[in-house]
Amino acid sequence: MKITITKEVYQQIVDHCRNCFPLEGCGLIAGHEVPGGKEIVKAYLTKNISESRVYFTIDPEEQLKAVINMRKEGLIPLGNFHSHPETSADPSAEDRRLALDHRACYVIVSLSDRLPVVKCFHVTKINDENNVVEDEVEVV
Amino acid sequence: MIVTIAGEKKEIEQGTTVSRLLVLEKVQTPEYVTVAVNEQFVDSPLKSERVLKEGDQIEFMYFMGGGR
Repeated sequence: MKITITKEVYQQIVDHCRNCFPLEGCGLIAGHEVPGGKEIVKAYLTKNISESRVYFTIDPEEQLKAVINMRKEGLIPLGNFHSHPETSADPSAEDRRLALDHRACYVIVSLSDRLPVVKCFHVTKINDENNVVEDEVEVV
Repeated sequence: MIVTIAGEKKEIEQGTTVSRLLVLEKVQTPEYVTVAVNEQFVDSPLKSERVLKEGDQIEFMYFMGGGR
């Protein structure tokens, strides 16, 4: 699957994650489904109510407000993003276990190096196990 | 009757509860799903009691979290 993300939204996501450092930053992404992929055109920067360097939880109240806004703007919820302040942009075991929505994109931002690394994943279920598949990401 | 589920208009039977809708919509791991009807959360213990009405707008929201 190919995921395109606008430069502005990409920068918003990275900046938000940097601002949250050393805690994990998180938020929601919205946009459109297109043949062969998804277009991320808006990010909703949320609080990490876990307030942790290694966990994130998006506040359901913020999630609902964001979804209401997406519907009003004709966007669809596409998934979420979160940062790994000190590790790679690959999903952890807990990320895999909690990737519950199989229609969602899961964007991970690694801040472990000087330059951020952004990857996107989706999940398929194989024999009751979450199988994580990396998507191609293009910043446009 | 017609309701809106995740932004899409759908026809459901009169008397459908939130719990029943989770089954009808084949929502996976419903224990991790928060339901909002008309922009208000439905408490989990009330999902089996809350009967949906014509024109209701329903959102299913998966728990979003993770960690290492």
